Amino acid sequence: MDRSLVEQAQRGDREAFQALAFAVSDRLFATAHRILRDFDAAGDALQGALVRIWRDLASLRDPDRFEAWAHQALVHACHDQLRRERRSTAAFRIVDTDSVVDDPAGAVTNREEVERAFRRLNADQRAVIVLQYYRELSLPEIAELLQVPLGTVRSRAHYAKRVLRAAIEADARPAIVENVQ
Amino acid sequence: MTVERDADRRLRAWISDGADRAPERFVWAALAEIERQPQRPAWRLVLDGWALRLRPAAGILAAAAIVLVVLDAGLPLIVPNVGPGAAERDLTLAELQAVVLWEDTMPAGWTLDNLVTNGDQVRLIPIRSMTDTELQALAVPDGYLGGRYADFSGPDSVFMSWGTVFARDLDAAAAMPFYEREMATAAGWGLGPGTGFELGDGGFIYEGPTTRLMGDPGEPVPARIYLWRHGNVLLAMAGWFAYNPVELDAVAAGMDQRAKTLAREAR
Repeated sequence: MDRSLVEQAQRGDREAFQALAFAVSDRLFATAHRILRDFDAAGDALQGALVRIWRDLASLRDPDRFEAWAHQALVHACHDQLRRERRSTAAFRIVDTDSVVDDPAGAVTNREEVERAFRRLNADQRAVIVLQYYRELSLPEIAELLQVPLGTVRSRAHYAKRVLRAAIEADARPAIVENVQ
Repeated sequence: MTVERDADRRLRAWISDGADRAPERFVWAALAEIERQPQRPAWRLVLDGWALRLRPAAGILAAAAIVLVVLDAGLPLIVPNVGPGAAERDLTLAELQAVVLWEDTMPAGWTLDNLVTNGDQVRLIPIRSMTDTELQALAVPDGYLGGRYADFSGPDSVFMSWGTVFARDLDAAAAMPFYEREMATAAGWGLGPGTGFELGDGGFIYEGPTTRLMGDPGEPVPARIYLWRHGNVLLAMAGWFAYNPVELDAVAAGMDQRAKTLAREAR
């Protein structure tokens, strides 16, 4: 990320911020989509995060950390989005799983089980999983990004993985049994 | 272990599936929104973060404040009221709302940025000489009932209006030297001895460069802070950066006048 662009945006330069926003929006959106599992909700979270990033940009002390800091704002926005969604519908929207299944190895044949398990997680737990498995961050890096203690991240990751692995293993069980036989 | 690795691989495969391109309409919508949205000054964010850190202690202290309010309600039966003048009574916490600057009393061209009504936070806001841990441990002044704080932005300045209410004017008078030291000493705002001025029961104007606007020492910025007592209320009004001293004089006088008017009304 261009440090000088961040510094210009910090001084209130809207054009510089526009360039920054387009530079990071794909990565932020991809993360939001995986946390929220909904295209429009991810778009709303991206929009909310960009506004938050602009508003609070002056507080970013190290411009080189812009992208990590932007992800922090995005996780907050996902949190808000999930809260709003829960309030308004009291249930998650159902993702059209047929349209997203692309699993050439046949590793996960029934994704609904995993999808449902993931939706049982709260925003913090989802964020840790997405940052670890999609953004490939280590747990200490996630703790720094989210500004929470490492122990908290470990416990969120542990709980979330237990839930998800149970779902994945339940899906995989027939295949394993077949191999044993 | 193999099963665990396999589950990890499946999880990774599952999670990698999803959209990777942000539709531009969401970015443009955000950019349209920020056209109407000013950036928040860094000092504002420092205050917010600091207030959040204080939150765990807030519940206990709020309960203590409620006890004090209850005590205050019964106090006139026990202790004779000692006001700044025979015609004035003590102000209540609720009345502070009309004294501390607000949108309907702020000068033209100012914008209201923030309001804090949590009394535990309000009493600590002017303190610069202590660490977070020391602030958490700082005893509540005798008779403290609560406070109100609002901050504002002008074209090239930021402003703060602050008020705290005590059970008696004696309590307010006893708490005043602590805040005076905070303004004057190098560990606090570092503004040196104040100049006496005649508002309410008297107070001081502190003026000069301060490095402590954002808590930790930073670039020096011009500051002008009024601190005074009106009966059982401590009041402060402050401006930083390119403030207009004449305008600040008028704002502080307005706060004091509103306190005086209320104190002369029957409860």
